[in-house]
Amino acid sequence: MKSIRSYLVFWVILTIAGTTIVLGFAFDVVFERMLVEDFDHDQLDRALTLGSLIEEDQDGIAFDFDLDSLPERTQGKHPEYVEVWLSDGTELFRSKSLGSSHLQFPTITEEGHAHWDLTLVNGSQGRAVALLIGIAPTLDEKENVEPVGSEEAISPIISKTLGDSQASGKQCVIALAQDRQILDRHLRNFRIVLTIANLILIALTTFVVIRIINIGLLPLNILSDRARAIDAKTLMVRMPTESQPIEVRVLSQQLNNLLERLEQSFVRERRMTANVAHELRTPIAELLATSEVAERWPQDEEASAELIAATTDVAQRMSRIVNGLLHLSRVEFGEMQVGKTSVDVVSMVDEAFRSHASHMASGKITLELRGTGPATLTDPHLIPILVSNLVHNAVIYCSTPGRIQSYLLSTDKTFHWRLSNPDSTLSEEDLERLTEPLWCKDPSRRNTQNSGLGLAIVADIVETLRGSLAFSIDDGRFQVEIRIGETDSPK
Amino acid sequence: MRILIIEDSERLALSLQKGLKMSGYAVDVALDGKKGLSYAQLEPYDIIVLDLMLPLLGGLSILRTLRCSGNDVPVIILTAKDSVEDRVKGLREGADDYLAKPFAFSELLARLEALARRRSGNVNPIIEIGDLIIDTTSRTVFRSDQKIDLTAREYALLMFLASRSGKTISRIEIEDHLYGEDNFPMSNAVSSAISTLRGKLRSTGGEELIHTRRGLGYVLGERSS
Repeated sequence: MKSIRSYLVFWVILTIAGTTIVLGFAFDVVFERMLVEDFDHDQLDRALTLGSLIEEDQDGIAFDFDLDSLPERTQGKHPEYVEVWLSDGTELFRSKSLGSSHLQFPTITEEGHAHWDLTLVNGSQGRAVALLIGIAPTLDEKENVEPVGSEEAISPIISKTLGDSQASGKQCVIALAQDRQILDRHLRNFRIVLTIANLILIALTTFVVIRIINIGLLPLNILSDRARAIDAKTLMVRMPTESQPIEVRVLSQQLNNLLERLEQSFVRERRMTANVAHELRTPIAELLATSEVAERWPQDEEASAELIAATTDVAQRMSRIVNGLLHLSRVEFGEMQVGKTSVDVVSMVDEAFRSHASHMASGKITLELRGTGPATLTDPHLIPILVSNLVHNAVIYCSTPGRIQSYLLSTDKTFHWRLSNPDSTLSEEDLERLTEPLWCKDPSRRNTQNSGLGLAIVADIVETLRGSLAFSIDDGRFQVEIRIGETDSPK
Repeated sequence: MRILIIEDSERLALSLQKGLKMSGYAVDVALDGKKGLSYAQLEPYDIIVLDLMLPLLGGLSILRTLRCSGNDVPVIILTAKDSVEDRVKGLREGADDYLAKPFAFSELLARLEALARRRSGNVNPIIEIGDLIIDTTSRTVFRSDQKIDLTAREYALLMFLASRSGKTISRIEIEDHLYGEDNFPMSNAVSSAISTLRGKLRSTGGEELIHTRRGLGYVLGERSS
């Protein structure tokens, strides 16, 4: 289920409806049992009353009651059916309402009575009770019989009767059957009321649950609306965190953190785009101006020569920029395969400085080079790029005359390199922008030999090799510190 | 017309200088902001072409300094910054026009001519002085319906005289506005140029248009007063 609201509504209502239905069934079972017990109790009372009228005298067993003389009990819509047997099954008495039919001779439980459902002679559903009673002699003991009125009173009567019968040795079974339509009607009415109540309860619950869930999800909806309204131009907008539920507040804070990162990212992208545009516009403008002048005055040999020189120079600059961007893109997107080969970083740094020897000599740049340690197991393609870019930057941007310091400590698995040069142009604020592609301290970008991608590439290489890169400025010296792997500090 | 280009890209600055010179303008170049401001404050330029991102001193700072000191020389900003905010900022700081890189040289030339016309108070690209007609759009000159062929330098001289038609212009002013500081003329260069121009203007007939004020300079107009 995709919607939290639908999910919650569905499961909460299903749970409540299920619980209501189960409880309804439980109520139904309990209520039916209560009604049946009440019915059975009433029927047992009637049977007991009838049983007390059976006597044994000198002439034999007598049933001192003429049921058939009471038409309201044997006729009409709901007649009673009575049959009396001796305990051995010999029939003693049968009401006329039975006609030629018989009631089933029951199996009496130890409690002395039994209840069961049956189909009555008139075809309707009924319920019967059977009672085993001792036949009392027609003596004065009869007067000892306590009045029947409650279930608790039944057992003493029976036991009394049985006690007497054991003395005389005769017992009889009396069965009384009645129509159970009243019982069924009560049950049906109860079930209708219960069903309606359940349906109303479920409907009310559904309404309340939906309302509560809507109110509960309101802060999320507000958050969602705000988030939907954010685009690249409104990344400075933040989600409200005050007066929000704790759960939503956490989400808002996380969203705000994400927005912060996105905003920084966009600012960086915009700056890079502006830098790329600026980096390309000036050479294109040079090319256009030179070519138009040469075209307007084709007889001017100097203009033609200048056009050729400009074309070559601009092409080289653009090539440097495009190659740098491609290189950066490959490193950023992990297209450069990281290999593991033994690389002599100490010698590599030494060689890189040697390649700038003439420039350093002309600029009166001196070098303090320290490097110790064995070759390092690292990437043989990325490390040369890293070393070349850093050494190039140190030499090109070194204030002249000045002294470059390079301290490198390598092991077979790691290396730690600290490179510094005097630079009076950089400030602390510039440090965080150093790895920004095409960033240039000089707004006029006079240095056409550098594309401004070197440190961005170095940063990506260090990240690819899972190392660390730090820049600092101390007493007019700009320092780069690189650690590839866990290393000791060079002394 | 004398133009100052303040642009740190040497190649671009020199290309513009060459093109503008070939078009008859006197052009000086400054490759950094400080030098540019110094030139602008010392020399009587007719137009300044100004880059914004300059070493040592930014273009907007130069513009602000010039305007604060009362220098109202027309300035056209030439820069890689082309956002609306940058344009608005540049124009509000006192620039007269704004051209984003890369640009067509012909567009720069047209804008410079438009600025020059505005400065001389003649917005119409057709200048008429008596029977002399100068079409600044096509850079052609007619007199008595006959076309007169002029070199770029002669055209520039005529335009300079026409921009101050009726007023006496000294030899030094002409030198200042027609020759850049790197190309300082010989003492008789102005007289020689005036003489040649007179000859060409007379070639179609009609009365003298360029008159000499002894000890003062020259006047372009129908009659000498």
